[in-house]
Amino acid sequence: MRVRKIFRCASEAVTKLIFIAAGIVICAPVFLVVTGSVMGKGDLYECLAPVFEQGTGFVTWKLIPQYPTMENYIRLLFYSPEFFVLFWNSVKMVGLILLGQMVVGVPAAWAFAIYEVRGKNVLFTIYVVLMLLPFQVTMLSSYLTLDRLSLLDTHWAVIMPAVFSTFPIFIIYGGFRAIPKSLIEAARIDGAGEVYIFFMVGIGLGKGGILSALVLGFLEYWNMIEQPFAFLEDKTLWPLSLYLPEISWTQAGFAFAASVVMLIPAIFVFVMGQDYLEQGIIYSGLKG
Amino acid sequence: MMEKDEEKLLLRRRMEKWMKIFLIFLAFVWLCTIISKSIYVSGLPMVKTDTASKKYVEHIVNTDGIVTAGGEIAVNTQAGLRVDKIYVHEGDAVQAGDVLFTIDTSDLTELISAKETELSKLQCNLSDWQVNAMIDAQKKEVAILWAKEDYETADKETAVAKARAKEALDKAEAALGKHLADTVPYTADNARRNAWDAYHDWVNKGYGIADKITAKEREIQDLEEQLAELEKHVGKETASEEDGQPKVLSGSVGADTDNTGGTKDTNTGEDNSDAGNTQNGAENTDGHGNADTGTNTDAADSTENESENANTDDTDSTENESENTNTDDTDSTENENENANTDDTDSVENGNENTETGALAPDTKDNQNPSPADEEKRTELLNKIKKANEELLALRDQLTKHDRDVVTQPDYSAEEAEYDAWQNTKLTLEETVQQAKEGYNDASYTREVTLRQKLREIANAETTSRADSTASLYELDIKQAQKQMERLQEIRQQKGEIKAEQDGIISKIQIEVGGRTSDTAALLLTDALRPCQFKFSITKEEGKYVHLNDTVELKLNGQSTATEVTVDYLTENTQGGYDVLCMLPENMGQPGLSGTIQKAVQGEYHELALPVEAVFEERDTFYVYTLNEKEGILGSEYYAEKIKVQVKDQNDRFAAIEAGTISKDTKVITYSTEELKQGQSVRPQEK
Repeated sequence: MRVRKIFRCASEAVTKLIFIAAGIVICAPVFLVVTGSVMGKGDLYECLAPVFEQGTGFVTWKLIPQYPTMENYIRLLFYSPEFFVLFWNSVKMVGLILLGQMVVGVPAAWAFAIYEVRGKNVLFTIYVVLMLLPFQVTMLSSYLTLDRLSLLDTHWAVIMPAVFSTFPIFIIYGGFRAIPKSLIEAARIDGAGEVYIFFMVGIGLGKGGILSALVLGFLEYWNMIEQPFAFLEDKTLWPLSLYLPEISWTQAGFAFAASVVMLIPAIFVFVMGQDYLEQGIIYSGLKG
Repeated sequence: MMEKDEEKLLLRRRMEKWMKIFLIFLAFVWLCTIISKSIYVSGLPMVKTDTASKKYVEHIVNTDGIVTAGGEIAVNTQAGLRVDKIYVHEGDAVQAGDVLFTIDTSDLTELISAKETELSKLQCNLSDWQVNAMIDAQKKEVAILWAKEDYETADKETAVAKARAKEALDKAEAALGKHLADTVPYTADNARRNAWDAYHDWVNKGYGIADKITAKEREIQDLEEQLAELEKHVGKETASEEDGQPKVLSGSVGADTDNTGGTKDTNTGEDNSDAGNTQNGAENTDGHGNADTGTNTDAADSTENESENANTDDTDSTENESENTNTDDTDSTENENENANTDDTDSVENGNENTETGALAPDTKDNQNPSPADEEKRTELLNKIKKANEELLALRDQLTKHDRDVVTQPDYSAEEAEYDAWQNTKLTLEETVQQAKEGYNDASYTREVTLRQKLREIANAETTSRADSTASLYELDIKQAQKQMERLQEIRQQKGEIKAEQDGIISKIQIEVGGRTSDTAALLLTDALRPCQFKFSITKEEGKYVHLNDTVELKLNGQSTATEVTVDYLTENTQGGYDVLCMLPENMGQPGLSGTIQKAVQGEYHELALPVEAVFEERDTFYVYTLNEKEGILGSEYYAEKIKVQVKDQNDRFAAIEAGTISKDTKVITYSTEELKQGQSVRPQEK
């Protein structure tokens, strides 16, 4: 009995160690970015010399920088106004996209979930197919359409296609489908109108799906690269995700600091919507 | 149910807390945005801009100058005087008669006494020179007289010497003429040659007769030998019929026969012919005798020849036999040729011998019985011998007659000795005449040279002496010293005071108290009678607009109105600019007064004129910075662009730009807080 207990404890410890090791490996990029952002030029050159000089050898890394400095953050926050231009561009685009998705996607998902309309299943299947199409497939048709609408080289060229994306509808649809039909019927019997039922019952009970769609949408659009790169030519309109490739290797420390600052909003959103993110993943069937 | 509500409440609070933190983060980012943009903008250089405008680029020359005197008067005094006091300063106005400075009178007195001493020395030098000149003239006259006397003496002496030489020459020539007239006899060469020819003819004729006698004797000998052989064959004794003389001849003939045979064998070709000639007859015997004339004249010689020939005959006969033997045994080509010649001779001889042998053979039979033919032959031989003896006698008579008629040998030795003595005397006399001629020529040449030298000495003595201005110089020095002394005395009479001769302002003092005056002027006074000048300097750029005879406005300090004056003189100065002089009107300005001139030149009308601050020059090329907009991450930004321009004209305010590089709407940066670079972001200054 005691041996079994010891064996169990040992197996648990080994399992934990394996998972901790895996966790460390997974978190290593974040660790590299954070430590690199506080390294001076000397430390970075010493670690990244094979990259700079294109010679033989391998990149090394220091757990603790020899001469840690906040110079990169100071330079980023106080001497790089272009960084903030792109930051606010990202905030603007992501905010409008999420807002648009709420305005367009929530009623659409409610309609798919509640109302029995002829051809609904076919239409929903087309929605799902569209959701599965990668951006590269729809890029050309989207470009032609946006050009015809004279939206190219404006933020709307990125916002409008995202607003009418099918993915949040699919997520929110899962949340609305979880509402019992009897509850809606009861509300109708009690004399509640369809709008009242949508706002009071639907949004209230499908809040988890909506928030999970918001969280997933934020993470996706905060990091998007292809859409702005394809549709935006004016650099003043670019999001922050396109700023990092603009930084050369000689400014590695500055790039690390910018990456850390770019990571902060995503962390906030993740922390705030962590519970809803799980629900959304469940709704979308991505998990399990 | 309660736990679920609490869980929801906790979740909401956590959400609110994180939402607050996120909002704070956004607010921080917003703040950083403003701060970073502020820092960025504050780092941009502030610029002022302007656009090109249409303007006349007017050129204004404005510069300061000073009034200078129109002319200066020098106050001079004697050089070398010691200055006692100076009563004026530079810039002082003086009037005619004012004392300017004084000279030390005690020093002046010393100078005067020194000058008197110098004057006395000069006068002494002059008188010495005059006396010396007189003495030199007398010496010259004496030298001329002496030279003339020397000439006359030399003339006489050389004339006498020349006459003596002439006399010696005449005597020598007379002696030679007399000798030549008294000649000695001398036989001519033709006569001498004829005498020698006659003598030689006589000798040769004697030899010829002797040769003929010899030949005839040989002929008789041959005939007697033939006769003896004939009688030998016949066997008769002929001695009773013969006289004694032929016997003697017969014996000699026998000896000669050997001699003849030896001669025939010893001599080859020539002797063979002799042998032939001997056999053929007596006509060729004369030729042979002539050839041997002088060799076989004596009997002793012939005897010796006979003995030699006999010996030679033996030897040769032996040799001939051996040669013939060799010829038969060997077929040598050379031996055949030699033997051919030899054989010819031998064959002839052998033939003769054989013939004789063949002829004698029958004779041998006939001796026992003499035939009439032998008798006839014998008779013939006897006749021939007789005839030959007669001819021999005749020849001997001819020889005797020839010896009696002797031609003597010529002899000229005495005559030639006398002639040689005469010739020697003649040569001696001719040499004497030649020596006399040379002596006469020498005397003539010596006379000529001596007289020419004496004439030169006279000419040298009479030559005028070189120009000498010593006396004039002494006189000039004396006059100058007297003048200087008079001036010094005059200054001393004025108590050493030097006064101004006219009104003016002291412009320069070139003496100092205690020092001595120099050759230059002691003081300079401005000429109050001449108008003043205004002097100013302009830069090279300003020189483009100020020319000679231009009118400029002049405003002197203290005057309220400007006056127009003319540029009278303009010259380049060391600073690369120009110095300008303007004559002022009479009674205007005073030396030292400053003023300002100004001249405005209306320039051309230009479409594009910029403030000069906007144009800058680098390596002789003009540039401007223009303000342009560009789109960047931060939005629309202004930046400076460097553009090359051509400046057509410019003054101190504006520069006219060539059209094409910029337009009238181009914003040109005229001012910047920092030095600009190509493409640099700038911030326009708000108006």
